[in-house]
Amino acid sequence: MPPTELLAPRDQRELVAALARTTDASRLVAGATDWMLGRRAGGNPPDLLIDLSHLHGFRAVGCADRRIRVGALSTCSQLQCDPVLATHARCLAQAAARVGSVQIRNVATIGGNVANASPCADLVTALVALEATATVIDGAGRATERPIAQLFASAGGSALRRDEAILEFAFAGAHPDRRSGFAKLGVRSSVAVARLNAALVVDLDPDGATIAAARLAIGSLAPAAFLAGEVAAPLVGTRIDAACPEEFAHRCLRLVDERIPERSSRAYKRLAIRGLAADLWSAAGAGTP
Amino acid sequence: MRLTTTVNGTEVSVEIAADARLLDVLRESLGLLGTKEGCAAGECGACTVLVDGLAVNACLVPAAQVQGRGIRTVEGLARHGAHDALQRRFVASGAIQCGFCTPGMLMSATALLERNATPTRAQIAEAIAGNLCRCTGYEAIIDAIEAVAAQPRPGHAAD
Repeated sequence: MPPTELLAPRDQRELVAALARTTDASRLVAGATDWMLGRRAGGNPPDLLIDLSHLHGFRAVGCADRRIRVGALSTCSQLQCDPVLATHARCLAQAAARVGSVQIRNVATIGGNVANASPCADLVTALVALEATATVIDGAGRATERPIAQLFASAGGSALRRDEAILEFAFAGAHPDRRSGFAKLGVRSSVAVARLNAALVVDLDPDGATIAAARLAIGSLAPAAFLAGEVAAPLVGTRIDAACPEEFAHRCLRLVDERIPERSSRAYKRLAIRGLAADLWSAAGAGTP
Repeated sequence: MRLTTTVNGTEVSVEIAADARLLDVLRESLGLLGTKEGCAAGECGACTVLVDGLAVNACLVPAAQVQGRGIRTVEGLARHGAHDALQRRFVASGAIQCGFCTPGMLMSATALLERNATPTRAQIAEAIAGNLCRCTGYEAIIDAIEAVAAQPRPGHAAD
């Protein structure tokens, strides 16, 4: 077995050249935390390892043309403290704050979290709720913008081709009264893989009390996080009152019953999601007109 | 490949495999055995070191990614052969039993205090949430970090 060749592109031109050389045995890494974990399982080392961590220009959050743009190399530590996200996409900042530990958040990137395509990836759930798109570049230098859901295969795993890398994510962020939040359930309060996670985005009418739009994304309940329209749609037009959180939690419970009727974890998850729904409602600040 | 980086203020250059872990380079190539291998999965924090001042799990960092960067390990805390304030307080507070988690705890605490000189107990707990101790529990460790935060602290060796 020949030794792994390492390429560490520093700009987009070098990245495209590196992507053009990939084979089925090649790997891309950014924070590399998931890849380093995977190495423990054995298997052949990659023929080519493309280390994206030295790439310039894709590690910032910005707002332009009423769109929030998040560089794919932004780390979870950056995102959890980012003032733009704190204002316009709190669910993403909260999700970043719940990834692993400080040590992991300091290196793990949003692009890596998405490309790794775990069903329980915390940032994916927030991005789905935000209806984000991803800009992806390939080995021919073609950049395309795709809805986040198209980055995941229906049977699970990533739908990215071997010669594709994510450059950035974007989503609408200019609603004047947007509430959003993220909640997660794991076996520990920190450094835990999500047994369930969820992100809620609620846009309020100018009266500050009526829900104009709502999106709920759930993770760890399917091969990839998904929008639960059947839970979010009834919220639209609702005037927020004391009954809202309970009704929301009940619809979340029904979602578990419908989505995983045969799975062994159903009994646990249908109980757990009621608490998760309460946490989520609170995290989003949706209960305070 | 050749890795050139700064470890505890000294530039080092070693030959590494492209997929080598930072943990292995520190322990095996550089002989810095203070950084421990616990779970090797990023869960226990025993291998915590600082890269450009940020706490990371050396078991999850490809060594190639620290090219040209500044690494600090537990060996870099002592100055002129004397333990630093955190190390002394860990001893004085009984925040050490078997000592296996201690280097990682110290590095997480160092990273915290360099960014936040007056953390709350909750912030301390969050900072060491990725460090497991199976001997003492965490109260004495948090007490030690809190006590050091409350006193003036001299600087550390530069990365």
